[in-house]
Amino acid sequence: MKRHLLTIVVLFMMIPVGLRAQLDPVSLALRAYQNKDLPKARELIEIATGDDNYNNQAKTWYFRGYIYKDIYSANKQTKDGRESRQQAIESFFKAVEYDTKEEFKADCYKALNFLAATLYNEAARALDSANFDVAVDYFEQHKEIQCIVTPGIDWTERTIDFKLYMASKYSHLFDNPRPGDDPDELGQGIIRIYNEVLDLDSDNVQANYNLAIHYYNQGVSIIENMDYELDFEELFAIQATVMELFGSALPNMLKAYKLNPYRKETLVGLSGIYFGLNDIESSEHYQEELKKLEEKEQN
Amino acid sequence: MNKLNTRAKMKSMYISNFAKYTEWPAEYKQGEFVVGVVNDDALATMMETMAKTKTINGQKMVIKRFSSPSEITKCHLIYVAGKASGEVQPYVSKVSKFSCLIVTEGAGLIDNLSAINFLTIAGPLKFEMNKKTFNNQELIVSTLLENLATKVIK
Repeated sequence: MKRHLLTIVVLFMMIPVGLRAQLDPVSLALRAYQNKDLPKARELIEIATGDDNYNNQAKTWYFRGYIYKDIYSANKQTKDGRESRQQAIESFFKAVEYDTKEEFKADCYKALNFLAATLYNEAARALDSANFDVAVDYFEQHKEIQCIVTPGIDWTERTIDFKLYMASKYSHLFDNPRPGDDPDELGQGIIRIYNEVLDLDSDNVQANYNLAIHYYNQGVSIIENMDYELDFEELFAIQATVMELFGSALPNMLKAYKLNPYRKETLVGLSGIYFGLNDIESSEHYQEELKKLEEKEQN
Repeated sequence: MNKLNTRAKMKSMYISNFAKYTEWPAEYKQGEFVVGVVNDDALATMMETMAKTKTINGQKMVIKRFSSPSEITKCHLIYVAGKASGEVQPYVSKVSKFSCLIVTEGAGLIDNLSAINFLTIAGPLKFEMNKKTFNNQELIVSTLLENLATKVIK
């Protein structure tokens, strides 16, 4: 952009002042932009994009992209700022569409790359503040742009990283719910996200381990919070639920073990799950493996 | 990962229910309800937590930890850890003079040592029962408890 913009500005400055007043709205918008009068630049570029003489020119959309990009940069955290970013993205794509000579394409892609990065950062921020739907929306927008601008990126890996981070945030909320949070909804969310990761990569150790731990901890938490006054009938019902949870944990923990038999956390996990299932022999087997591993590490 | 000893917690819940469905002679129905735990710290800790709030048949629960037969005193119920009958026998001998509900966990222990024995098989916690031992200790077991047992020796 900067190179093209400079050329255009230089040419613009060479035009006599009197003549400039009669210039087209694109040039006037550019002048306002150069004067850092972004509201005026926006007003003028909108006139240009509404005019059939200018709205099919790559240059018009290219300038519009930069005007809105700067409006976004000046108001990042406002609704207008975010809408301006969206306008900028659409404008750069339109500029590329009309740019048959590929004069602006490289600049447009560079700007789109920047804007895509801001979307990714916002997705991460949204995750940190547990706005999960917003985060997914930003991530998908980021991905959509990057797929065009930077083809060849391995999206499986990036999507997995994003989902694992999101699942960790869900887990944190599940353990420390805010007023109004629905634990069941959060729990289901954790299971859904880890399963989405496993759909992308069934050999993902972290997703297998974390999903198993989630099921296991749910079972343990139920036992931990049992009322001491429970009668046999209620005890049996709870025990059936807990056994089901431990049973759900087992295949994922065994998979995590298969993928990495030397991970201590997995051995602890397997021992705990089998213990919960009252399979003491298997529990002791993994306890023994852990002991051997730790001894090996010490020697 | 939550490190709770799930089996100990579950066993503590079962044990309090065993007591609930057992009747002791009249002289045992007043004062504290004493539960002895032999060589199982995890279970003793769970029982101690339970005893802070729970009563058994209206009697305040007290947990006593024992690690040798010589320490044994009068108990309403005793849980003896140990898989071999040789380990369990000395404790059983010591409590046999009391009306004490003897609970164990080990294959074959139900035959002539305990009244209730936890089974060490995978799956939901199960128990077996020896009605003769109940009778010998002058304890009356409810039909409900009998019906829940996997095996009852009569």
